[in-house]
Amino acid sequence: MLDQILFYMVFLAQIFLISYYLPGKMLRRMKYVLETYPPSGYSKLYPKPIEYYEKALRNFKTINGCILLVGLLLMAVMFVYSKGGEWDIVFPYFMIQFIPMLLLEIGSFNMYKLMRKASTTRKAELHPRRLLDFISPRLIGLAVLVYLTFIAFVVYMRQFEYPWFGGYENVAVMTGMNLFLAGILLWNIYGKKHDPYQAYEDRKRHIEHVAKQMVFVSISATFFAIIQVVIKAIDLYDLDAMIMSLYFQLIAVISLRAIRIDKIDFEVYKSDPSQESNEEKSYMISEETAENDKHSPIYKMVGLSFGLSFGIALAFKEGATISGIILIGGIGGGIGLILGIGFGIWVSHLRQGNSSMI
Amino acid sequence: MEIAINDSDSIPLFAQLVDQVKKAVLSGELGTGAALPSIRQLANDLALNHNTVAKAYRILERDLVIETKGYRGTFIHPDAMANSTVDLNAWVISRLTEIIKAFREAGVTDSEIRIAFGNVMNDRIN
Repeated sequence: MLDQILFYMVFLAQIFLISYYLPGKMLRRMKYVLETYPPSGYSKLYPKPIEYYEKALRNFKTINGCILLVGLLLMAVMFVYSKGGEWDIVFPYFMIQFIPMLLLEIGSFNMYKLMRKASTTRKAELHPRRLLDFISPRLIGLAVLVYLTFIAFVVYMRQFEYPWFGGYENVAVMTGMNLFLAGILLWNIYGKKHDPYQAYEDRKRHIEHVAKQMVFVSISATFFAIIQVVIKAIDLYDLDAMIMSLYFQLIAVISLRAIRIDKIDFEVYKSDPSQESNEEKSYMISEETAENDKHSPIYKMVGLSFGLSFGIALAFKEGATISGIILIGGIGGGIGLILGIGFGIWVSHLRQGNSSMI
Repeated sequence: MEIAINDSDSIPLFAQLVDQVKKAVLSGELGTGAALPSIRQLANDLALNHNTVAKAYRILERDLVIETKGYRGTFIHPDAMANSTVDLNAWVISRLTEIIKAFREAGVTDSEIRIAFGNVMNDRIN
């Protein structure tokens, strides 16, 4: 009973932390930027009309609110129907909780793309960037040490021959994850500059921030993997869902931690009337029309609804659990959303083709 | 030290890069031995084709403004300050102007000069 109460408390914390507290912080930050650095003075920061950003903020708030309600509803359902031990809901719910952040990230990438196209002047620092400029060797050493400890742990655990223990598969998964994190870091250091106006100091700070995030995610994921094996080995499997929820909360706090806004140089986004040619304006308008077509909410909603319905129906037919229904419904909805966006792009291409023929 | 590339400028992009590196050397912003970013990094930062940056680096290397030290990277040449004042392009134009003037004075027509120039450039003279 105690472990059930503990789980509900931790899961409630997950619901509020990832769908209320962190998004609230992000919203306050975005509103602060909109109010303190408005399009009238900082036009380079806004390649689209202000209404677009206001709508995006409203949507972000609404989606998070819906996910929060779904979480509370799930908790109520679990509380009423669950007899304990069937709490494999944490992971699928976490994935759903991250959807708004993912959409926000995709949105910001699109914004950077428009900013790059609108800018005729591009700047770069004539200084080489190296990994150790952004992260201390000690921190890298610590991550490597934790990874090696994990390998040693797997080797040690293999001698007990637990039937559920994957052995070296765990090492392979951990290695893959670390390579993925290293790839993200290297992409940030050596990859394309997303924001064409970003000051070099800000970029440096951003890379340092990402580097630390990647190292902390790697270390915490390794510890989580060790803890999961240990609790299974000492037969405390009932704590698994609670520990997973705590781990996801930690990952959310690490990955959604942003750079202090007062440290960002917004002067680079100030309006520059001499460079704002008519060509740029007309480009932005045509791009706006195309983007509106691509991201038309109708296609998205239709795709999402079809995918979600199909996923849920399939899960029901196969007699899945609540988490299975959410997971398969979520995957179906995601695929539907992608197909909806793809259809929007196709339609926009058709329209552009027609208009160019006219 | 920051450099800026302007798409709408009539000067070719690689020439803008070369000019700005030379100016930075002359102003002392880039001292002898200062490390430069790799071609890939600079191309990514400026959203340029790698070949454009590579061409600029080749010209700077030919003019002894920069030097490449294998895998260690690219650095400002010890004689960069003196070499940055040399404008090979201006020198070529000035010499060609003198020669063409001499040809015209000798009565050679412009089309004869063009054909001869093309033949010399294409190694068609035995």
